Amino acid sequence: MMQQLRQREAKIELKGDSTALRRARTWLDGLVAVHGVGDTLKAELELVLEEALVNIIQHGYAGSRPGEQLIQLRAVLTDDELMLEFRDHGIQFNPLECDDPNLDVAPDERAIGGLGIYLIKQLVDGLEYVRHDGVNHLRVHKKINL
Amino acid sequence: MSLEITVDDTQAGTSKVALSGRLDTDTASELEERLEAELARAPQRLVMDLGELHYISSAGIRALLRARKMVTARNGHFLILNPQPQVKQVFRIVKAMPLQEIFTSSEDLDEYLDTIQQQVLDDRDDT
Repeated sequence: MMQQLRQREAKIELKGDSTALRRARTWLDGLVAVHGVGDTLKAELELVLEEALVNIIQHGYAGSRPGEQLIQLRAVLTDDELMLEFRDHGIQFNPLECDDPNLDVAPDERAIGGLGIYLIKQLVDGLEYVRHDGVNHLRVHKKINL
Repeated sequence: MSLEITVDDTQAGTSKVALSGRLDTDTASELEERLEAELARAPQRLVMDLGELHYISSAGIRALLRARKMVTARNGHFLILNPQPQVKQVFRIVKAMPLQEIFTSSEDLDEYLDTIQQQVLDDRDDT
């Protein structure tokens, strides 16, 4: 008999208010804790989560009220990968088309911005974006060794 | 876990700011306010002790870079002490800090501070 793959799926809906980041992190930590993810990997996942979520709230939903900023998160955790999906109704934004910041310029002369998306790109193993029916779908994949 | 900020400005010309916890989107503005108040005293050296800081995001990096810019704009020194693995990793990815401004022990940092202090005295002697 084939061994069944462990898979766990979880969802959460957030409003873009001051509690969003904390709630999202608590949700993610609870999910990965069950699977015994190490501290280094956990911090990387938290960072990807924060950068993607904050980007949606501060840029995708710029100008709209926190109560109108709906963000749906979905996570699918298997033995070797965590997939995190972010869905929002904000302005169309494809991070894959976003230029990387020029890091060879001295920190003082650099434009302070674009670091969050760059961090996500450096930390994940896969990134997909689709705009469908006025909704941004961003999926990040991160390999985990359990 | 949030952010704890401890400021020590008992040494003339040097402000030491120790951070403990997380420097993220939720806590970065708190640090920016404290640093602005501290920089109003125009210290020549700003030392950020990150020995107890376990997490930093791009919002935290921006807060540090803003402070660094203010300090270096008046030829002061911005120095980082004892960054922990997650913080070091983020610094490395975004090339946030010149490596010569990062110290792994307070002995090395004190030695460096003595050297730049000596340079200031030497420069004065020359004029």
